Amino acid sequence: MIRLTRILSTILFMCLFGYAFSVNAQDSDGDKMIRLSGLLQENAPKHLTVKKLEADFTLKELRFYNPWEKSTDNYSGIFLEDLVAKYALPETQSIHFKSIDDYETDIEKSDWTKFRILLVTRKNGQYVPVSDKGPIRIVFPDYTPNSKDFEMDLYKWIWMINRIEFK
Amino acid sequence: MNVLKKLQLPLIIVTVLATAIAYYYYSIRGLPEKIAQSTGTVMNVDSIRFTFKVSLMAEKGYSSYLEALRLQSEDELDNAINYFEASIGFLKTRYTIDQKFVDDVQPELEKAISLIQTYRLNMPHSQIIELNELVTDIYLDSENREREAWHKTRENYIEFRTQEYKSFRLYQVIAIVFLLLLSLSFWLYWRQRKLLKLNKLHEAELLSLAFYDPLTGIPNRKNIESLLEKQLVRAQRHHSSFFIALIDLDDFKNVNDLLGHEAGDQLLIEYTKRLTGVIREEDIMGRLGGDEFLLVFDEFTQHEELNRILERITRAFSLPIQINYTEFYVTFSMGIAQYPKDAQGKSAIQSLVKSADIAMYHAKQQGKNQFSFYDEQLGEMIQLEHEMDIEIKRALENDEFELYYQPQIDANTLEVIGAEALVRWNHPTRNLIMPNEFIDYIEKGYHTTAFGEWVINQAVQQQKTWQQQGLNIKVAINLSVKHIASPDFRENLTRLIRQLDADLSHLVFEITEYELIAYQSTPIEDLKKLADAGFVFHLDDFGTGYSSISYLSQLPIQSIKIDKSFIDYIQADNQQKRMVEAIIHIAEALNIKIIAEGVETEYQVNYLQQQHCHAFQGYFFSRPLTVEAFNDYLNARKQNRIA
Repeated sequence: MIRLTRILSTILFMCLFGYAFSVNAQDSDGDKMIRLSGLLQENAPKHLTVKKLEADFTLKELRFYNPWEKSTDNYSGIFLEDLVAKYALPETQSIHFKSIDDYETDIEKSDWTKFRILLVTRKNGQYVPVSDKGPIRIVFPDYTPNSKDFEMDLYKWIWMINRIEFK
Repeated sequence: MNVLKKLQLPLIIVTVLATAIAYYYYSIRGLPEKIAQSTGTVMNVDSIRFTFKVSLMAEKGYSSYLEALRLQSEDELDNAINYFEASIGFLKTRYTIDQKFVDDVQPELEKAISLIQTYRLNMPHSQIIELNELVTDIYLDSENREREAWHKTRENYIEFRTQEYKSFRLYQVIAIVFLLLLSLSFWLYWRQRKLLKLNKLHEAELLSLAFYDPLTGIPNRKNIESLLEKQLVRAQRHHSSFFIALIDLDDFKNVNDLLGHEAGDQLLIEYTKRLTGVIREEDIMGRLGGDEFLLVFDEFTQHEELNRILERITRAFSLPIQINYTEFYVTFSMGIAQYPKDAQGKSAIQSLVKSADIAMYHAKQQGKNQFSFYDEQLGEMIQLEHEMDIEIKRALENDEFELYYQPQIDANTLEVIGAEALVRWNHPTRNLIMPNEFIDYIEKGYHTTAFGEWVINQAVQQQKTWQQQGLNIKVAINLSVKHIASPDFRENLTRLIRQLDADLSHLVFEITEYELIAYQSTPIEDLKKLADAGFVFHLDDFGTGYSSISYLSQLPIQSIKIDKSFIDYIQADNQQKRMVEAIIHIAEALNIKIIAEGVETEYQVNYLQQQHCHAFQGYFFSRPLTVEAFNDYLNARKQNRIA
């Protein structure tokens, strides 16, 4: 009896937390904090949520194939060129991204002038949870399979970004 | 070789196909598999890496949460949640998808997040222990997953490497086999080409041999006759005329005999070069055989132009030729005939060449370096001579000549002391021909020496036979002056006599006075040397040649034979009689014996005996006899004497 009660209470606990987790997840995903640093413009924020980031820009929505996911989806976000123009000083030559798992990569100015590079905030219209490589991530919308330029840059598709440094 | 030849094309096709298939299977078809293998390896590495990240993120989340509890920091709490969520993120990454791993780990991660979100910064100790256990379980699950993934990757790699090595060895063997086949094909192809090339060369060589003289490189008889025929057809069509010339090198046989055939060949090559150098490009020259060449002049050649070419040919022959460091002067005889004038009958070519041949024969009779144009009247005579010459050659080869012997009688004893060998011709169609019908032809022709040597040979053999029978008969052999004047006559005669082992004391050589006088270049010195060596010479037909006494005294002769024309008139004509007496007296004065020819009556015998003539020869005693008849004659005289 005691055992049954424990099981039922556990199930109830799980259901309640699961619901709460799922409901809060959508909102909280947009509230994830991103840190900006480096060659920032004077009025640029140093901490901002994903929502705040979106508010500062007109989001671009594109549909393309993501080789890491092996699927085609709709992605919304900000082009790096725009991000730099908005937040960074003109002398910025590269952007250093760091993710929650401490993965790091640099994207050079030559990259964002040569390719369109999107900083994704939403996937299929939804904020992206960390468990789905959110809150923000880098993608190359014009990726072409078996093109050496794009294949060699696949390591730059950094996800779970939480720190951005303009250099 | 035929089997190989038939196999060659299929072999090449099979080789090319097999090589292409092997290449396709090894390189093209296997390509996706190789890409898949390398991609799979990358995915497996990523899978291990992300599995590790799952564990790492969970551990970082736990550490971060403990730090948050210690510091009571909301930011650190968010970080902890982020780490756990990131761990789920890595768990869900495509490369990490392993349903069992996900089923084991995802609930643990969600429970960890749930605990943190529930208790936030006030988690009881028991729950912290639970959280720690969850993280430890996640670590152990990840560790297992990593190990499995690593084993799987390694197995795949070893399997692929082994298969790849097997395939490589297989294709290597196939490639080597087909490379060998390909090499064989190429070898066959090369060999076939070589054989074809050789065949072509042989064909060209055969063609050249069929139509060109291999020694001189000019058209051979067949070819030059064919070219002449074409020229003739053209001339017939244009109603034009043309000349041909037949050239023969004089005494070419002597060059061959003296210096050998190699030198003869060199001579022919040299004169071919000279001739081709002096004729025009449009003229044609061919070698008919031996030392005979045929020139066919262009159909528009006029007499003047022809004469200029003939002069050039004469000049070409006037220069000496050097063979084996010795200079030679070779002369030629050339006969020229003109079409259509000198071509009669149905076969114009044969007729034209024959006319040129007759003209050449005439030129040869004229002496050295002569050319002669064919003339119809002369032609008939020359042709007869020419035909006779050919017949004489044949008669010598077929042994048609026979020696008859006319006895010579001692004037004192009336015994048979000798016999003059006189030739007769047992002609296959004309029966017996007397010498007056053919001797002239022999004298004019090319076979004087051969004929003379044949007579000497036969006479010597007969003399030896008689000698073996115990008969003491001297055999008189007639020599023509042309034979005596031939090159190396003395050496040849000496050699012949030596070869025949002849007894010179029983041989007499007769030379006619007329010939001796008429032939300017009689080598008296040679005769003297021969006389010194034991040869005995008689002067035949004496009285017909008008030789002077001084000339007579120079000749190395032992006897003179008074011609029958003087003997015939002994009875009738006193003047002739006195002339015979004078001849006998002069001969006595010069210590030369006298033989009377044509003795036919007893009166002549008695008279000549009174005049101290030494010997008789004539029908009074006997006409010329065959060997058998001569032997019978001797036997009969012997019987009469006994009787």
